[in-house]
Amino acid sequence: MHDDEQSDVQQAAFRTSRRGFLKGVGIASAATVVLPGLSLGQEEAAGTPGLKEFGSGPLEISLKVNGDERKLSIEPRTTLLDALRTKLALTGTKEICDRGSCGGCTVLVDGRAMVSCMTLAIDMQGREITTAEGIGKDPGFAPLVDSFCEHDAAQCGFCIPGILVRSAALLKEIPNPTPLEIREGLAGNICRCGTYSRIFDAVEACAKKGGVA
Amino acid sequence: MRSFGYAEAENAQGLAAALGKGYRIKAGGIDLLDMMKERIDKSERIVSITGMTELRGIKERDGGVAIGALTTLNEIARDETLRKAFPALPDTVCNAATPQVREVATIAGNILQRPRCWFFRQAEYNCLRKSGQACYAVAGDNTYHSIYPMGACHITHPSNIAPALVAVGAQIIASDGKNPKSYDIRDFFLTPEQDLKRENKLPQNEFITEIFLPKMPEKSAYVEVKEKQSFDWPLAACVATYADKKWSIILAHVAPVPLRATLAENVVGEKADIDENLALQAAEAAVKTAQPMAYNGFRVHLAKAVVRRALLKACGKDFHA
Amino acid sequence: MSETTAPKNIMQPKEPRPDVRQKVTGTARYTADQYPAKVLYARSVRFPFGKGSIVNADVEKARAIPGVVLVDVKKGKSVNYAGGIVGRIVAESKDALEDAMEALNATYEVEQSRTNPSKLYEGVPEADAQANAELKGLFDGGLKVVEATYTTQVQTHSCLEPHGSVVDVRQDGVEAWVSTQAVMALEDAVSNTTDFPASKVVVHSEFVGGGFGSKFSLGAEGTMACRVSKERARPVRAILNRSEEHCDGGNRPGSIQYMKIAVKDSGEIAGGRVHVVSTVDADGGGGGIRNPNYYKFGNVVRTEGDLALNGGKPQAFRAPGFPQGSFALESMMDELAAAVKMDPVAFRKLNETSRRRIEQFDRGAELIGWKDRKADGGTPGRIKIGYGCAAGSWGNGKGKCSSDCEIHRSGEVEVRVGIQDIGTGASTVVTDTAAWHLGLPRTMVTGKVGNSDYPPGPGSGGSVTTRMTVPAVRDSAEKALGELKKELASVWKTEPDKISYGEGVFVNPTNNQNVAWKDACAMMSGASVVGHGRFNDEYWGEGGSDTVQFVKVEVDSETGVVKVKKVVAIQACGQVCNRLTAENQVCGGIIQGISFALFEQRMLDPMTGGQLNADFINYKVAGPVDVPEIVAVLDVRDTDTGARSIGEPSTIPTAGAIANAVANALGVRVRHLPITPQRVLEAMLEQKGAIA
Repeated sequence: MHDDEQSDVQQAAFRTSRRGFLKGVGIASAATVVLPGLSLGQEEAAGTPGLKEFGSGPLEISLKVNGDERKLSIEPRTTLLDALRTKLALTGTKEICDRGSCGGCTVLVDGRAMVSCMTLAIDMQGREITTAEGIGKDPGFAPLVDSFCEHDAAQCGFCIPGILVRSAALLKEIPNPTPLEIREGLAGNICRCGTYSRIFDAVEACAKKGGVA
Repeated sequence: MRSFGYAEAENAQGLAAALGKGYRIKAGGIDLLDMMKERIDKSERIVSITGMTELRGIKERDGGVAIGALTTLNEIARDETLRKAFPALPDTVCNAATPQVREVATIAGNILQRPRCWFFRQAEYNCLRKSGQACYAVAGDNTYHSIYPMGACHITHPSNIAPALVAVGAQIIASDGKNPKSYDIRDFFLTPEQDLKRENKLPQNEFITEIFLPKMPEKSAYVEVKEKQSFDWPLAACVATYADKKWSIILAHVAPVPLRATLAENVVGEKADIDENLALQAAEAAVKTAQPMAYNGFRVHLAKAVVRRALLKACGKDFHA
Repeated sequence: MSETTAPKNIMQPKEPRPDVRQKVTGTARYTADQYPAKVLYARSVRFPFGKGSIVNADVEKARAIPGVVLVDVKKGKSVNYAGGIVGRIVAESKDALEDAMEALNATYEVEQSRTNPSKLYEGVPEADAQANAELKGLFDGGLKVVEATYTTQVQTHSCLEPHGSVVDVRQDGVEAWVSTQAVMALEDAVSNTTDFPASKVVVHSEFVGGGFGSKFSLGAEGTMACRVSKERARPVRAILNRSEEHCDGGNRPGSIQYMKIAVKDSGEIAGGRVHVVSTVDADGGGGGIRNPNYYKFGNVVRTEGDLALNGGKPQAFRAPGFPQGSFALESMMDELAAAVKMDPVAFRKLNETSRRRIEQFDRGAELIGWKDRKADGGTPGRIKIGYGCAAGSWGNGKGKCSSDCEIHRSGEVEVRVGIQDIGTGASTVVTDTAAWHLGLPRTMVTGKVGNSDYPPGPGSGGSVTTRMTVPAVRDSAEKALGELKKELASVWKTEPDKISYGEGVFVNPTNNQNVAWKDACAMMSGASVVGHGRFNDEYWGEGGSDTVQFVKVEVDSETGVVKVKKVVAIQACGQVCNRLTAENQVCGGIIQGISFALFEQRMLDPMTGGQLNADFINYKVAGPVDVPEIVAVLDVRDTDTGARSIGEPSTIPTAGAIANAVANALGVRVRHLPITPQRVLEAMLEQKGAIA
């Protein structure tokens, strides 16, 4: 556990009145909240039935990514997104909003599309993780990848890996989606260049040709 | 994100022990990680409960339906039993957040999520709910804040699903690891007048295990109004249900708690079939006590619109006519 | 969902962009994807409110965090917008960097910000005496006069790949990855900042995650990366986070536009008074609103002004100034048409300056179903249908560009141009242009861009890239072919100009035998031949960028929710270098226009001046469900022999067309963007006294 003083409660308050707000209002902090009994560490791990404690420091874990078992060192706070990008060099999973609201970091976890920025890597042990790179190599998804390519479903391309992954899950869930189902299925992905029309066409055409396996 | 100690609870006993040690629960983790990334939630210990699979699933029981605390929003949205018996419930979540978020976000997490207020969600604004001295919405931009005054803080309750649960008087079943506890969802949520720092009554040492819906309504409908149709929080929403000759009309996203529109319920009374005129009267009654802030007066009109629409929709009528 | 009208003799390949598979499967490496070994993470410390300074910050505590390399905070430095820089942190990891940021636990002094243009607006200034007299004559002359004030919001660029640089200053030179739309200019910037000659600097921008006008300079983060890398002799990564990107990554300035216009009963516009105010930053930087000159407006007295806000500096944003100016102008066009009881299309055609657009109006009206348009507010029930239209165009000047075309012994061709592909398809244009003019299949040609060591090309601004690049690439291809012919001539003992070539086949004039491209290339004496090309006027050709757009909307008159159902765009762009990328850009321009018209707005808190929606939750960008059916027609004629602009004109008319469609649906005009439920309901209350 690092520095206990980080539990300082930030007290940078403005005064309540509007006039008070205007000038000279920056108020320094003071109140320190000391939380009781915080001496987390590996040694504490033993003892409580039904509870496995890991502490806060670096841990060796293993993740199954795109079919391969990969060993990596993380902290409990490491998101799956950061683990993929900085530990496993899988940069097709993009960091765009880092708050689960743009879909750029979408990966498949056991076949379901999730946002890796709001997922802890440590929680993903024993799960099957598939990134855009993995979809690109999976023969079952080749019709979808080909359809995206044939439709030129990319402009700057930064959002597209996330959209490909979400589309892959969508076609598994709904093999023959209606135009509205495609739109609603992709509603968690933002494309700033406005390539949406091409993306819809790519997903629809793939479904009509027999979909993904 | 700041560093935290991590644990996994395998069962209720382990989870209770974790809570005793000051751990904070992470289920889907969407709201918690968001709060931690913003450095607002400063939990030093996180316990993951995703391994407690016994808390997941939808079952019919005792004439009602029990929804496990870890049931995801997508599972609820796709559930055939609910779709037939209480369509408003899956409707509240089938377009909530994003498809990826619904895949992991749980019903308990949705009910317990912290307010979306844009002052609360930024660490630099030390607002009332964060032990500060002021509600910044009072003099600031309050477009998305409450239009029903309930104290010094002006959040709206962010849960999409809670209003549907309030409508049917669901019970929240919780546990402290030893004994089950039951909360009536109709007085589970706390207004800022009741408590400035907490949005509900769940104590730190308890966790939700299940949401129990004792009875399915005869009629139900959910209506929302959003600025954008892809991923957006509603400006106003309403759930209307009819059971045992009584209507429940619950407004969402307009007040610090899911808001029971009792004045509107009084207007419609026992009438099972509601016409345009009565729906309009009920809608007027629902917003009688609204007191919008400087920027959000338009949402009073939207609250009215969703009440009218929900009542007509529950009666199988076209509210666009 | 799109169609093309084009003669066959004009170049218009329709293969997907060559790098599409890399983009789709995530193997394309952008600047944000660069993590060189031993990289340091750098981020600016920013002031979160509109005006004021940092009073205190626990710099020592931040420095003490393991992995933190450097913490500087300028206490007391006054800042005048949320996102203004007051310091920097450098650390070994993103986590350490963010821990240090939190440990600063800064306290702030906050002053009142200027955030609301409408409250600061001082009205229309007096015109000079002579103009006043003319205007008086105009307005008192018995003509119909329409007076209205339109406003537009501030829109942030919101590039999905944030601004950022990864810089490695080594002893022998500098290698930098910059997310930029001006790779050549960035070489100079990096050279100046690191004190290395440009010859020792290489800037990469092979893949750029959007720019839209905001990525022309190195920026504070790039400068920081250069300096820290030089100081520490380590590579440094400085990529903005989403909040920084909104606050300081550039924006389209907001506007207040006053118009008072007189129109004759015949429908001829007589002129009037226009005053346009643009938002700028607190130092007066950025800004500028353009009311397009597509229509004959008679005698107009136009003045401009600025409104300084405590907000991030406006940057060029896809057709800078035009979508705002077009929205007001096209709204006024419909209001004038109504004043003289004319159909909006007929009224536009009457006052049009472009023959091409007059024809486009007819075509667009047919494709949208204009004949189904009802009188304003004429749809029964609560859901109202409306139709609207607007025009666009773009200037098409000449400029500089150079290109190297290298034909290898293997027969493969590599074309290098110092431009960058920010999503427009620039590398596709290079590839397809060279392949077309060399008569080769595209698989033989690789177009390379996004590297400052390539022959200089323009920055991607003003939609110049394609129209500058095509003549230069063609020139380099012709010259390379000439070099190859020289090689063949020396083997065949003949003169180069006696060798004929077409569609991958040379004819040996000495024996009249055909020699295939690859066999011919194998005869060259060295590894390759290179043609150095420049922008060549001979290849400029003819063409323009006129466009019209038609929109069909559905408005819920009880909730004020607007849904765009269909958009038709008739877009000229000269010759089509690649149909898929061209149509893709038109659709993109339209969708950004929808997003601008209905959703996006930077929200600065009136009290603190902080941006309340520096995220993708409350900053609302059009998503998949908000996207209508789009019919993008590339309007190509026999005379269109030259490449022209497409990126910017395609986003100009959309907002105005939507506003006009909403007005037609409701019988109430919303004169303020974005057209949110709030704005629609307010307009109904104001203009009708009640909500439907």
